Amino acid sequence: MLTNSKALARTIPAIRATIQPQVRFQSTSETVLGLGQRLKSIFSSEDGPKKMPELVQYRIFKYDPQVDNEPYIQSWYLEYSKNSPMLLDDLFRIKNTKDEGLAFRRSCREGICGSCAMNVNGKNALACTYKVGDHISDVKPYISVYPLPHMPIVKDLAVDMKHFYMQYKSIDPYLKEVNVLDSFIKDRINPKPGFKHDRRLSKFHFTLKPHKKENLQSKKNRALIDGLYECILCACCSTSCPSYWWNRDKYLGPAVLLQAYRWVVDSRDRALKERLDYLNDVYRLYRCHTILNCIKCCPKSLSPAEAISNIKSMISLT
Amino acid sequence: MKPRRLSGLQMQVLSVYRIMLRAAKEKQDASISRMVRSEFRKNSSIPVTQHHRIEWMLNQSRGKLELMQSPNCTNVTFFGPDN
Amino acid sequence: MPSFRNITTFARFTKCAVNGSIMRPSMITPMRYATAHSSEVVQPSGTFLNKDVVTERVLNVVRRYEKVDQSKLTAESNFYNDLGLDSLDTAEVVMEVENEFQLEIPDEEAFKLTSVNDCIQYVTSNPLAK
Repeated sequence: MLTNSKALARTIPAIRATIQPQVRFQSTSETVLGLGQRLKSIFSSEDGPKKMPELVQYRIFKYDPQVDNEPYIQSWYLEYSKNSPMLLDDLFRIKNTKDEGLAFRRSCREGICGSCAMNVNGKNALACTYKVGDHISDVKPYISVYPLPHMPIVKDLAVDMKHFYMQYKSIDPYLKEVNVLDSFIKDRINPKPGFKHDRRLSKFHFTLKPHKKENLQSKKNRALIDGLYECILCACCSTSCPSYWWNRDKYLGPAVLLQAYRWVVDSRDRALKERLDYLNDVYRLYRCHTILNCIKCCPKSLSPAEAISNIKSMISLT
Repeated sequence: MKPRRLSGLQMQVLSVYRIMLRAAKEKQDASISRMVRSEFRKNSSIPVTQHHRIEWMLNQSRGKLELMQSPNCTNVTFFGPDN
Repeated sequence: MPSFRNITTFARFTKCAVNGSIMRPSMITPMRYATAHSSEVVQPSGTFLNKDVVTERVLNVVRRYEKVDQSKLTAESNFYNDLGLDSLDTAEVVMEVENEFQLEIPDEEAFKLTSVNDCIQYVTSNPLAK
């Protein structure tokens, strides 16, 4: 198994070369948005700028299980303001002026912490990067805000993310070195019979030495985790995936699998085989049916489906 | 005599109740077991139609159960609308 | 549609042939085989308890439970209809029975035990009961 993992480590570049060009999912949201922008520019030239409503209706999901018997929708009317363009600003306006009891999570207000993920007008999004002006018009002057679908509710828009974080924990999201040390020492102590000293192989061993200082990575290898490390774990993709709704307990979900792939392709990580063995499971990985909701709603425009597909190819090739 | 048919939600609640009582028994502190029983008894008056609230309480109790199962835990408190 | 299906199956077979060692999810042994096998192994050559003894012990356990009306208690009585217990009480009584016979009844089985007679039946048919 140890020699296997080494052979595997050596063949990763080859595997990557075969995988990368094969699967490329287009982010549908981008294309649709591009079309929308073009259409808007065409129409605005004829009709003038888009007409905005004076009042915007916010339909907000409210449920405090300790007080309310049933969840309900509460609606508030706010004046449309260009000065507070994002949904999170309006949620704060509501919380400050109308409903002090409204519960929602937020931290960074710039789309990097992933706390304010919620279901807005039927699509999962981050409230802090959701431009209200783009989604309302004088014929549709409302925004409906719900918590992330299929998550246990704590209060109002705050959901219980424990299970999601436990799943993230299960894929060991950190660089591993243990296997290398084992194989390195074992091969040095008992070389296999008929083992010929190969200069290339010794060089390979050299690269696998435990790192005393920095764990370096070439620019090419660093480029492989672009589009993966940006994930902020907001759970927008996982909670928009029907397959995750149905098998939440066993299927890892797009966000966690994207992260798993991030550690699989990282050239500094040595536990590739271990990771692939863990993922190679009927439920953990293979419940992805390429529904592609994950790509459609990702606030960072990543594509978890592509990552999942690449993991699948890697497992089939090894 | 027709055996009573439990709903899926009731089964989940009873299942958590059983596991919780078992966990409480291992603590060797009778007050925990008593508290679990009184808590479930108190909340058994919630009408079955309020399944949202029951599911929320189920979720909360699962968290408590996890806490209770850890060897370092010596006591558990429940928070509800009435306390 | 049929032609599409043929193409995919063909593709799958060729892929299999090229890389002989593909591990696909369908090749993983389903769980139920494993569990069935292990339960066979665990099955001890235990002895079944005498029904009269079991009846007496079960009745004692139920009698100890404070909410039970002593006068109505017989080996035939139903927990819900005759003894006026609810599902929480029943769960507790069943757990007392578990303790008495040093059993661990799985949830699905435990929820089916709705009368004193059911408990007696279950215990007498279980070789692990002590």
